Amino acid sequence: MIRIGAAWPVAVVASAAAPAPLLAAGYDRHARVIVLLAVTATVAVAVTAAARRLLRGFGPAAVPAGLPVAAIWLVALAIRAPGPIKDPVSAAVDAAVNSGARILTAEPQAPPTVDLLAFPVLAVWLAAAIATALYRDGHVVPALLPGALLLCGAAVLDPRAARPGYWSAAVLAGAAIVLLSSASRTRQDIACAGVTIRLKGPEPAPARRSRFRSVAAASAVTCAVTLPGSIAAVAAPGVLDGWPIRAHDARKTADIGGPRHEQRNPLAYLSAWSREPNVPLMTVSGPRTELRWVALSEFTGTEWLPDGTFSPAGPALPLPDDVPPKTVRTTVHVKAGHLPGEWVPVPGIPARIDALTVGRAAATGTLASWDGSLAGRAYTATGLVPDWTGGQPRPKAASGAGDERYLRLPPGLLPRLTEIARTAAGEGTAQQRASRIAEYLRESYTFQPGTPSGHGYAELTQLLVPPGRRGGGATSEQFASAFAVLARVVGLPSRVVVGFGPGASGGHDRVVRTGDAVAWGEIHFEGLGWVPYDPSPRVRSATSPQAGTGVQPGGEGAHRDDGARGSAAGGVRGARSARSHGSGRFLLFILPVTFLVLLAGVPLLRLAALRRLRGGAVPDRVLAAWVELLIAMRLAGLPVPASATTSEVSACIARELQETDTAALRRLGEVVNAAGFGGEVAPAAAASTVAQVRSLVTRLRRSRPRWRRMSWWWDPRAPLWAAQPFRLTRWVQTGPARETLSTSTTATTVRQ
Amino acid sequence: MSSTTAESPLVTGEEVESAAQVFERMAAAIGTAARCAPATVRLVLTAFAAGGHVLLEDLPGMGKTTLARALAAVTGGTASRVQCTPDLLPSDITGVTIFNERSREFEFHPGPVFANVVIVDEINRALPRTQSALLEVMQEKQVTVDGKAHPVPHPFLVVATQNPVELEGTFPLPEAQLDRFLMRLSLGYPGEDAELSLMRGLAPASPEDLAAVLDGAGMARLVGVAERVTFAEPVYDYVLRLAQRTRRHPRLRAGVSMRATIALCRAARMHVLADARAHVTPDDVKALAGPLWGHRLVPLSGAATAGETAELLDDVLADVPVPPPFGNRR
Repeated sequence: MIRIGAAWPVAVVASAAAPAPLLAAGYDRHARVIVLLAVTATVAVAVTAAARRLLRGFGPAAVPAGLPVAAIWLVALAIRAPGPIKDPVSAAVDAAVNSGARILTAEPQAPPTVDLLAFPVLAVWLAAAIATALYRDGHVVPALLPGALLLCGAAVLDPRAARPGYWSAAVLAGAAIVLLSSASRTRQDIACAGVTIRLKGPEPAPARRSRFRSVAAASAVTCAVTLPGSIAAVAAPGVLDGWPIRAHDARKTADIGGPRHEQRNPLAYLSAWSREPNVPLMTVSGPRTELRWVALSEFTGTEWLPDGTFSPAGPALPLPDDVPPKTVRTTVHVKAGHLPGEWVPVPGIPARIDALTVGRAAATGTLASWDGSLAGRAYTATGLVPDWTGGQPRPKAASGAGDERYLRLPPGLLPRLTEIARTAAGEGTAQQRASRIAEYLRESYTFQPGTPSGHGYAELTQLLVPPGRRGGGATSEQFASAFAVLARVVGLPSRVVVGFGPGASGGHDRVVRTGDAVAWGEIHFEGLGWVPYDPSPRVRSATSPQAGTGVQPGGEGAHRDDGARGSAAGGVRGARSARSHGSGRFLLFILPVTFLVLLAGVPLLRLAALRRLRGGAVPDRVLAAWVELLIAMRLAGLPVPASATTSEVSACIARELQETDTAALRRLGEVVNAAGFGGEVAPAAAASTVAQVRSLVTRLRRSRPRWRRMSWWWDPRAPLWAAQPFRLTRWVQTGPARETLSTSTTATTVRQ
Repeated sequence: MSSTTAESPLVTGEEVESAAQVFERMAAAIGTAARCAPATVRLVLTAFAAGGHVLLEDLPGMGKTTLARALAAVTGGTASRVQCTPDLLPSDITGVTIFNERSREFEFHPGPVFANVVIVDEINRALPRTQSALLEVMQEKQVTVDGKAHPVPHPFLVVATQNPVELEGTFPLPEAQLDRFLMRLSLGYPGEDAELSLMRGLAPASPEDLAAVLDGAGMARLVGVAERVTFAEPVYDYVLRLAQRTRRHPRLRAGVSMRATIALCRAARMHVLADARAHVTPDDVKALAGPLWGHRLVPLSGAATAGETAELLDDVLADVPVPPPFGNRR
């Protein structure tokens, strides 16, 4: 037998808080939101019950009487989970007025802050307060209605959260069982509506009859509520999952619009960045992967436009409907340096962002920092990086209603461009046509850093229509735009994406520089989502502005968009070909063997190289010793610039090793110069030089950190350097090495 | 692979030692009269031995003229001095032809340029045509008057001075004339001890009192030894790459001339002899690039200060790989 006197508050709280799982599904940290709503319902029930008692049983007045406490509750929430407004009172007022609209504009998995939580909190409070007043006035069935109505509203608001809705329905059913069970101890009040069951004091009745009726009523209600609920809970997921019709997402009907993010077009940076490719933009830790920055879908004829409206989003980000079939979940830690704008670079399709509040553009998935510029911020981004191995054999271009915007081309397109697009694409499947367009651009033109910015019809005409004023050269800005425009001409939904290569290779932390920035095109395929294609040529223009600066294509400091090309080149076809390269078993065999060979072979090769210090002609021994010293410097992490002379290298060693005889080092440089440039070297001087170099190498090794000392004899580069000493000097154009090693010609002014 | 200027025997150790001692004695003698940095004195001696002219650019009172006079004294030659002013005429420095009433013939009266060491003070105050007359003497080592060439004595060194601060009423030397100078040097302030001793009245020796260290025969021997100094092919190539880099540098309107590359090689041979060596290294090239090429660079911004050209030259030196010593023996 249910003890109604103790259980009714719990049941009323449960009925009002029943929609909590459904409401919380739209927020990050569901459990915390569910607890908050449950506590809200509890407090509302207690406050309303107390107010009703103070008002001497006048139930309708108890609901508004408790509202001041609700306001205080909201202020407390504003203190505990503040939103953009930091003043708690202002935040509570703002949240009470605007949170309903904000929920419609927020992305799923929104952060649980007061500006987004006020609406469900107040709704649950009112539901609990009304249910309490009704129940205490004896209206049991109407007391269930606020919770039920709120549950329906939450289901309409977020139809995708069907599974949490089952829990909500179950909780509401449980509450209904408890409350309706109390009806067995009431008698019908004919003064009210027929459905109303009034809770009156228990009438004295024969104990046997009362117990029997109570058990029968409770059993009937339990069966009436539980059986359909159980059947629905078991059968509904399977039935509804296969149901072809999906409920309409109320968010998509609202076009309320958030704050506009006016920023410079990201494509406009690429030209300047290609001229200055060595400026660091950010530091990335984690697996090597390309980073997507901004997707641009709207083409005006003069430029591609990025999204301007972003909706607030929580750490967990919603995934698009068409995620590629195979993805690799990748997490990177990014520390943004001088990265301009508010766009957030992420690996692949963004799935989660930590330590940064972001807004998300629903159409493209582009993320923007909600708190302004990204420069100097650090965050952790998790994304699904597509793995294009396998996939559909003949993917079709997407042709849904939402893809019309990706096919739109404004007036002004020259017929010659249309002709070029059709000639380049040819006939075939969508994937074949897209690949041919990318290949046509890659093979027919050259990459020319420093080409002026601009990617509209005018610039594309200059680039693509013969004879072309630029001699066939452009940056990835123009090639990506050309690819997307030509693809749209032949009916392929396309867009332009700006991103970054994985950054300079090295340790765990990689520096992404301006030269790593790259734009590429993407085609939307059914079942595959957006597939990248890299149309940027590998061949550099002969008139490259960097041709005379010593920067070589593909070398350090050059425009390094090869990383992005790796996954993007060739799109689906290029990705498929990558499958043949991955042979796990072969790697499992070859890696240990390689390791063992390196472990034993490298020290042996080093020792063999050291034999040259003991034999051969006198100058050869001196030069071999010098090579050993340069190898030691490289192993010690002291790069030797190609422009450094022997005396400058000696000076560098003198600075690095304290308490070194600088005169002896100067003599060492002189002997090496004599050996290398036609001077005479006495055998005694050679022996002295070899001994001096051995001592310096030992001191250099001992001055290094432990990990460098441990890897000293096993660095596989050392034997290669000994065999090809020309590789020892590194081309360093800027940086501390040049500053410390070069000698100033201001020696023109010699002071006493 | 290495080469000397001719298929001649390599320089012996004794010859190198002898040449280095000559340089050392001359530097020591000049040091008693002029309070200049030893490195500067050595560069001036290098220029003299290499047959080049020197432009001393510094503030007044830094010892430019004293250095030039001391150089003339130790080389055992004659010295003369020209104080340039706007009314100085070409004939005032080259000489004039005067009709001799007694012999009834025109006779040539040589000007001050007919000396082994000619000190041209404040050269930028002379008129351009006077500067141009000096140009011919510096390059051709002869004066042409009334169609007749009059050679100047050998060795011949012009030590010109100019004040980089007071530019009002001056005629800046054109690039063509600057190119005639082998080196442009700046003396800088002397050290504290040297300046204190001067303030205390401890006057150094008079330049005219210095004994001659080098005579004509000694000079010829020095030049002969320098011609046999080893100059490795990679170092030649390095000089060429540096020159080409100055000609293609984005901040330079004009790089160095062929005369400048030849002069650098010639001066480098003397420079290594002064250092008691018989082989030229990239270090020598770098050390001489500033004094020899600094005044020959023409930046895009127009007239350049010594600091600006030094910075540009640093840039050029950092952009060109140095030939590694082991590369010469492969």
